[in-house]
Amino acid sequence: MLLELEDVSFTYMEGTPLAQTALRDINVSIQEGEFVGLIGPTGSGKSTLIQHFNGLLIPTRGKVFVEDKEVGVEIKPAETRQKMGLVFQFPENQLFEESVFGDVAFGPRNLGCSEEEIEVRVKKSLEFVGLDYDSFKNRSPFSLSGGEMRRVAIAGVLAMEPKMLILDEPTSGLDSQGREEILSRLEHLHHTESLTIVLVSHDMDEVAHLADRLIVLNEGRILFDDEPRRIFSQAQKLREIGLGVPHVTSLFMSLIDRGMKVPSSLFEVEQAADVIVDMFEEMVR
Amino acid sequence: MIEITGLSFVYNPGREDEILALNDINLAVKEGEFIVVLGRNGSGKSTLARHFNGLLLPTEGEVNVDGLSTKDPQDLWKIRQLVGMVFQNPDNQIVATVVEEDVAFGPENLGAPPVEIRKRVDEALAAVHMSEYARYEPHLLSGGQKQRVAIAGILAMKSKYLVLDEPTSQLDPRGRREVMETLRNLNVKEGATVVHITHFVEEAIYAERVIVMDKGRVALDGAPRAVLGDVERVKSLGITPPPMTILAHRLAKRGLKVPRDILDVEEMVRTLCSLS
Repeated sequence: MLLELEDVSFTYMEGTPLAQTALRDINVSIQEGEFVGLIGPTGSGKSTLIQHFNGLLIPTRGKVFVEDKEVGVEIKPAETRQKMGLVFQFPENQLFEESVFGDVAFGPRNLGCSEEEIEVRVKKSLEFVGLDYDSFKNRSPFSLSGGEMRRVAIAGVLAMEPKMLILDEPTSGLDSQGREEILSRLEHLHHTESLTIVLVSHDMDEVAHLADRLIVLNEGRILFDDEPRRIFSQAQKLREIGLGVPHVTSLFMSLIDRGMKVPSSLFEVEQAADVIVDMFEEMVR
Repeated sequence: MIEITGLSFVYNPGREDEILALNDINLAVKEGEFIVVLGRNGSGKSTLARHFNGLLLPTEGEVNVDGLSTKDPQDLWKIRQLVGMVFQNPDNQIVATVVEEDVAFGPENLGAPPVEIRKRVDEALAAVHMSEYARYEPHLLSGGQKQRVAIAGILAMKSKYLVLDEPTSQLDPRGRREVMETLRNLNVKEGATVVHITHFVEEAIYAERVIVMDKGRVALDGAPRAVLGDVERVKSLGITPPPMTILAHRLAKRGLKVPRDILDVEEMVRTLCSLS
């Protein structure tokens, strides 16, 4: 198993009057090659949870295993961070080098890679995020568009060659074009490299389209952990905790309420068009 | 009314990295309008927003607020009182350590008498539904609540025009809903004029008027249905149309009698039910 959390609880500032429990009894495991969407309202513990995935936080109670080794006991947190690449929110704020090359090279250089190896990795990582190596390597990161800067930041994490890529709301604040660039690169990475991806998002349409498994957090606990279509059939429960469902799901739920015979678990516009056209053709017959 | 005539703006004029950010903009914002401005990154939205209250001054052309020109330094303070701005980051615009003191900051600077300030602060917080948080420390609030406090600060200045530059971009869905409801409410009940800049196309659905910027120009300007229903054109300007509008287009292409300018789920449900 690539990642396993066993009865993990986490309390900020434990033992003080300000103690606040952010995670309670989390049990979850992620296999190599999965694409997992992590959703939940603000304050539900998403960011705290992903910081346990890469050893930035050590659980107050419970254990975290990376490749079957217990973090902090059998594997150092520092090594965990290299295996589990975490892209924070607004990662472009952490760009600092004078060139795109320098920024992406920072990680592998710290790992002690040779200059040759560094160049290979930088090239590969930039290509993964869809930026042409020759035209971007010497540019200043600060001359790039918001979407490009964010892709450079993601390339910096990929250059560490992690086993898992964890992204905390990677499309937040971008325009539609920037959003689509990032999402299509993630999809590509998942399909061609079988990279394991955990995507934290507020956008239901986004995770529904990409992830093959969703984990819903609420008040520090796992509320659902299942295939997207099964989770979206719990629309009522999701709305109660301040989340929505994809637009298409919401459409089909309303159609069912009005007595139409359509599936309740659709979320892609393309599929929706097919189902609706079929339905009307059947009526005509 | 805010009147913009022949407005062009150049960043770094005369230098190698000179950029023409706004190119001959002509635009009028009437009192009581609710306008949503869309456009991809770099299209000039924020540069335009900063012209409404004279944070930036035109390279060419003119911006007039209720007849006062932003080019006239003597009118600038009056203009800034008339046109209030809210920015992206909720943490960068709150200055005080208590919510009500932050809202009072504007009217205090205007020299309003204390009784008047008290009244304005109470009314402003009530208008954004934040009265119960008057004595809170701002850092205890959610992002959506902080943006509502920032809006209250503008209301307490008695500004007529609210210009918001991506106020929802860093908020979660709940915070986004709170801010949008607050803006709609202020527009309908208090008659506030709202210019709302955003990347979220679903926030444009309920506006009266949608403007799409592209390469420093106004590319589209009209009712949401007319603007967003033109799916191909909107896409070519870097904006993803609402999912239900895309679905309507697909259905119409495949021969169903569905109008191509459906904007939201409710409308789609009504249309499909009337077909069957």
